[in-house]
Amino acid sequence: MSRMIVVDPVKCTNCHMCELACSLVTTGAFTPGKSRIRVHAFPADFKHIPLTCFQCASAPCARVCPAGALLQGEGLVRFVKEACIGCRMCMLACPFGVIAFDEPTGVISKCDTCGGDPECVKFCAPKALEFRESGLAEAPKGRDFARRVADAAKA
Amino acid sequence: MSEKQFVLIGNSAASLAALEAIRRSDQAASITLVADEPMPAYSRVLLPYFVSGERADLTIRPTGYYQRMNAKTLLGRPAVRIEKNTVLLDDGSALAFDRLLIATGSRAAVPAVEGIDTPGVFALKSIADAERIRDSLSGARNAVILGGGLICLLVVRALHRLGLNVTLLISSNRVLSRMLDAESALRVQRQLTEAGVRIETRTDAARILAKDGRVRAVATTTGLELPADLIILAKGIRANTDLAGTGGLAVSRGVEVNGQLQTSRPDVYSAGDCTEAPDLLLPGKRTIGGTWFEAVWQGEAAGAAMAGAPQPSYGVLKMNVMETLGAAVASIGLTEIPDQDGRTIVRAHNESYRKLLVWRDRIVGAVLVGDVSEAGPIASLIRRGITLSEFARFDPSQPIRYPDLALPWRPLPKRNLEVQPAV
Repeated sequence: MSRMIVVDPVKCTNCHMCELACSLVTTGAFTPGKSRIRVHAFPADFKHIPLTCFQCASAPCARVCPAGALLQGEGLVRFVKEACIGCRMCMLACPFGVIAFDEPTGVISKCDTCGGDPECVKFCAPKALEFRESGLAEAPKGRDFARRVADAAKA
Repeated sequence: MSEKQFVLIGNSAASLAALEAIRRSDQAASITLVADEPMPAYSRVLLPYFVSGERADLTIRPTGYYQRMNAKTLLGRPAVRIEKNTVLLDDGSALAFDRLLIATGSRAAVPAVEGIDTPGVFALKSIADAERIRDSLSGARNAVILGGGLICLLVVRALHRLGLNVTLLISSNRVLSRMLDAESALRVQRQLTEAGVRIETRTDAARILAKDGRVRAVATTTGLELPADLIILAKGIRANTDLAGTGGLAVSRGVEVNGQLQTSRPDVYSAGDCTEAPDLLLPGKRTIGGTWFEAVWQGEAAGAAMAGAPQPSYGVLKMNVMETLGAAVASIGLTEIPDQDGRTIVRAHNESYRKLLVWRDRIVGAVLVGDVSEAGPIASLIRRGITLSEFARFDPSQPIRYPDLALPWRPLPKRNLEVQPAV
């Protein structure tokens, strides 16, 4: 079992602190547009849903990467920047849409859980983000998330 | 579990995915992987990057991979014939199988043009092709590319980086005519032209002109004579179906399979570029996926089915993404609506373009230029057959995001699960 960033959309207050924290750590500046976690707002429903890489146990992105730049690990899909050719196949393969393309560098960017100590979680005051053990495999991970979203919609 | 004999023909995306899928459910089986080429698996997607000198190492699996997968390899050993329950190799040896996977891939289509076999005319399908192109680059100034498909644009990018003058000869009226709609193709074309690439549409090569036994120029059907130090074939692919043919399997443009990648013979499967599988969006039609994506998904599905653990399959979904000299383009599913029951939703700005195709109650295709970040969720919803009425709230002007799809969570559609005869 490995730890992952678990999202509880019911608790999210749309403060976007996670995006600021992530971008500061990963780019050295407050650039929420480059954050690897994104809060998706659904204003008509008063819902805000933070979304980042699930680190799938059998990750579609790693399965299709034709350059060996995304490697399946235990609780982490590792990105090897030097191997990336910027073809974006992973972006088409990921159903969650959590892989971004970084124009200036010409390669993709995705969550690496800050090496096992994610900054976004530390800055999430309402505790909508938690970094904890999760034994869920890939599909159930998505299903579990979908259930949370459904609960959020009902709440 | 008895020890089954699996034989996989091929050593690229489909075959490796099948190998891994078999091992996920069967640790004991004997697996033998056979391939024409002598080297360990490499990525064909990286070939243009090898030509341009950006990548030297094309391997996509770590050293010791085959041993770790407990697979025997017979590399550099073309399989020539299927006879009963054995595959005959070029050295006359025979391999017995309980389950066979044909993942023989594709080759470049060669147009019937006078002088097409002149030295200096290249395909780009293998590392050997890429090496030949590299060897011919010294002193080369002009390159002509025959065809306007996906491979063509990756080659353009590579040759352009190397400083060559590049001309495209395209039979149809635009580049990527099978991947993009007219508007997005024109955008790509504009970028290429701005970067200095010459594009001749509705033009074919009439004759390859040689000098001292090497290509010198291309005479076109429109009466042009274009100087060429090298010519690259990018007129699409042809499935390698010879081996399947020897086994008496049903073959049309590719090896015919059902939704479980099973050929007309139940113990033989086929996956990847050589395969014509049921189309996800066009019921009753079979399609050659012809993409790296499809090869991986088909290989996984075939491997799982071969090992006796079939997954729900969804059929071939055409999708691809690429970056030309400029913006990224992605296309998923259909690029034009099939009939009057559909509508298109287009949003275009200077740099970006987005077209969604809605047919009846579902999204059946998308073309994206510039920002392709929606592509993953769109592909997922098309594959899962989610209808718009199932959306929490469908706003065609907004990007499609995963939470839109998460309500309700739906497994893959069941309808392709039934194993139907391949004919």
